[in-house]
Amino acid sequence: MKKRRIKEYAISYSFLLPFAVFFITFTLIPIGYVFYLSMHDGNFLQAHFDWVGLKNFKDVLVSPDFQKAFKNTFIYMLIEVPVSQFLGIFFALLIKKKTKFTHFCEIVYFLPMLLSMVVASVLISYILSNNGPLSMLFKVFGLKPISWLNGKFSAKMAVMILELWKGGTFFIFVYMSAMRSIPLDCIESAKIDGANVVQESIYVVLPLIRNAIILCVTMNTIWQFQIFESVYMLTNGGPLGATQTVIYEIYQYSFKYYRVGLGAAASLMFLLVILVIYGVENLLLRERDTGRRLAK
Amino acid sequence: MKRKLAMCLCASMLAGLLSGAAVNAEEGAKLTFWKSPHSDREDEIWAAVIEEFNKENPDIEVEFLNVAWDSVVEKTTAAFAAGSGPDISFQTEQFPLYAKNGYILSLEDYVDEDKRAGYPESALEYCSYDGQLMGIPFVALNSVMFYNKDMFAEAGIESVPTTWDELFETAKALTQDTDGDGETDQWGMMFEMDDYWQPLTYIIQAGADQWNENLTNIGFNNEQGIEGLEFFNKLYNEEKVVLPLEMYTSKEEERAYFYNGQVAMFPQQIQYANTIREASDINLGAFALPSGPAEDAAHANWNFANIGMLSISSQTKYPDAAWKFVEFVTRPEIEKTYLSEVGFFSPQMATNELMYEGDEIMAVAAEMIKQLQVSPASDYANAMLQNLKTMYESVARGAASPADAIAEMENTMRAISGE
Repeated sequence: MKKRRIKEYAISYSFLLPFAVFFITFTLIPIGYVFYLSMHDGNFLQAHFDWVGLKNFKDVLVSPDFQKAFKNTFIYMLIEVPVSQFLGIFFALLIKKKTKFTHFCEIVYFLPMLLSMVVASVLISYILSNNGPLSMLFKVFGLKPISWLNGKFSAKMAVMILELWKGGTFFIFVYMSAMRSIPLDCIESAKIDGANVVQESIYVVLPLIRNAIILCVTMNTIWQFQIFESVYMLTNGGPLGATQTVIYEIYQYSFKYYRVGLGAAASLMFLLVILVIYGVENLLLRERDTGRRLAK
Repeated sequence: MKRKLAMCLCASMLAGLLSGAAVNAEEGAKLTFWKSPHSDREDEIWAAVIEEFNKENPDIEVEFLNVAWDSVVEKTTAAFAAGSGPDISFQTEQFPLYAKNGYILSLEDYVDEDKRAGYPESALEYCSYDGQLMGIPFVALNSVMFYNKDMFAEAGIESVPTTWDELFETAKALTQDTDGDGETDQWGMMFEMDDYWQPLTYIIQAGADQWNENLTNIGFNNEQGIEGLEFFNKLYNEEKVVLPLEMYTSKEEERAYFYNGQVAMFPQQIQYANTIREASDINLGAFALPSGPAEDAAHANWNFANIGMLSISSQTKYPDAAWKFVEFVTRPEIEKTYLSEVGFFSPQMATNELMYEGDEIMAVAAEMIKQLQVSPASDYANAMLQNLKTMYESVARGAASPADAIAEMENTMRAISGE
């Protein structure tokens, strides 16, 4: 009996083996290696790394580049996450009901997701360039064109516009799916009770798509912390480091300046920050839910 | 007896086979050659050179890979670290990093006295690490001031500036509001922000050094360095004789101002002569960069010059075949086909005599190439380049004073080097 059970367990667990191998090889071992690197100095060309203890962590904390990059990353996160969620919900509300335009709108919203970040960056940089269509439009209306990629704030805005356009559209589909799965009875009851469209959206739709909101906010926060391609392609960190992000700096230090250990230390510190923010977000978004259940 | 004889015969046949194999170990060699582009036609030019090489060496296959400048350091580093580095690579000021970690083959056993004699000692010294020659000097370049002759004539300027003061006065005279709307629409000069080297000219010409003694940080956080950057600031912000940064968002947009006759002077590396000629029909001229106030001539007349070299990887399976290719490419009659197409000079004077005859722009640079001064190569060259750009930009945008910008760059370099 016991042997049979062990055999059953062995067979069951063996199904986990392919994933476990991948997880250990591509997640656990690299994370362990990053820990190792963060305590050492050197570059990938050297045969041996030198042990430096916590020096790399100290260097990250005092580095003006990383301080600026952390600040910029938080600005991106604080502006982009609420705006993209608001727009995602807004556009999803517009197309949640199936009409003859819904299909067209879905295609339009979905298009940016099909483009690679490189293509999207080239498009946006052309649109925002001094001789681009946006500047021409300004001139047509007798306004002075904005040199988007030259100003510290406007360059940040340009990166956020690209991120919103390219990445933000994903959330429209998540919210749209969540809204379409709301039972019709709930909507109809609200209408019978005299709720208008705004009241229906705020008091019925939003609470019922709560889980989707938690998922999107969490994912978007993590993505915003990982901004790299858009900055690299659009502004290359400029002007004057105004658009540099932590991931961009980690890349610079690890692969351009050969401070692999410093890059690893920054990665770990950044991971910690992301985990803390993820924890706080989860706590804030779930707390009310638990409270409500307890009240029942 | 018969058995012994048979064994001897077998042994001698085996030895013959083995020795033959040793001799022909590099037959059928497949070489990879990595180089970043200096021309839009880079692939075509190298295809022609390789075809020529194959006429002499039909058994050696060379595969050329055009590696973009902005990722060449990362790609080369990753390839060497993974044990699959290119057999032959074009190396610049970053090469000590590979040399000190043993990824570049010393060429001491390959280069004979005749080959050495073709190069100035300074070029060979630049391409050496720890007393070992790590590459054959292949490309030499320096910088000149390109100018629009017609704009000079229209402004009544008869001679080109030779000092900072003259440069400033000339730029001022050429900065104009041509349509009378109260806004400047013609500028005396421009700097390409992606070109890390040209503004450095003023820092060195004031008497400062690019590197500190250890080649780990800047050597210009001093009075002379600040004086040099103050002059750059004067051009940009005090008298506004330089095309402002707000006027463009890309290199192409910026260059269009020079091509369209809205900017009169443009300091750049000499190979840009070809690019400008292809892109515009302005009456193009060139002159040596005006001298600075430093007391010694080496500093006062400094202009950015550099050498690019062809190196062989220590990981290559075919060092002899790789050397054959490097030796072939650096023959004067062969290298001139690449260099003249791209607009470079050679560190070998014999090659330079074969190129650019009667070209008055190239003649300006050719004269200076004879006294080529090259900044030392360093592990931190890449970091220096990245941060020079930020330093100039913060001064040009008025975000920091020259002294503060230099101090900030020193701090950043300290963080990078960990010193």
